[in-house]
Amino acid sequence: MSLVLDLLSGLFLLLGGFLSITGGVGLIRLPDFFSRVHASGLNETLATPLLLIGLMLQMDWSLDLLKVLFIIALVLATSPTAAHAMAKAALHGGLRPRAADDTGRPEDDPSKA
Amino acid sequence: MSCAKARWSGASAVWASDHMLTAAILAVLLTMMMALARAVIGPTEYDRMLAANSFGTKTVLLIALGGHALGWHSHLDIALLYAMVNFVGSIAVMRFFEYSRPQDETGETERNA
Repeated sequence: MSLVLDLLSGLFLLLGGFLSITGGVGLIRLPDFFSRVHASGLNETLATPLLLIGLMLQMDWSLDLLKVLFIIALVLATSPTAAHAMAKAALHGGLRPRAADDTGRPEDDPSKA
Repeated sequence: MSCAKARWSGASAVWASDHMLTAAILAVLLTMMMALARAVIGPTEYDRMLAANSFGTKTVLLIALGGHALGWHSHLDIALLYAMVNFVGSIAVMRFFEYSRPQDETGETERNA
């Protein structure tokens, strides 16, 4: 039983760490603010529960398990909400998503024609 | 023979899960450094706020995982509180930035204000 729990915990922690690094790389390398919101929001929503479930599998049976469950529920609720609020704020603040046929030159911008 | 084999594999599973915990902490630290880099180089203020939000979420993970690894007491309460404060702070700053146009437009091409 303990062997299975340890192996599962290691697997969850490994997957969560990989997803976390993936989100960080996307946060640095993606070209646009909206794609960065996409990378950060999606990866936080999956990597945080994976890492915390991997932590729960290592802990003793106590009230702390319920606290970790509370943290997972809170992050699952607030991380997409924060990503949505940031994208909405940027859109209302005047930032526009970069289209696939965007050349970057202002005379080719269709919103200014 | 089978008993010795089971003991060996159990010890190796404990070894694996312990080192996976260390690897997950290192992955979270690396992601925090990437978020910090985006906060420094981010061309718009929304990028900086996104990086700060991502940094805060990774701080929650770091408190939970690192507190468990170092044997702290009641670190999960601090992590839960930090998750709540991080969300409320992000929403507050985003509502503040939502309809405001900043004065300087440094180094960005997407904004057509």
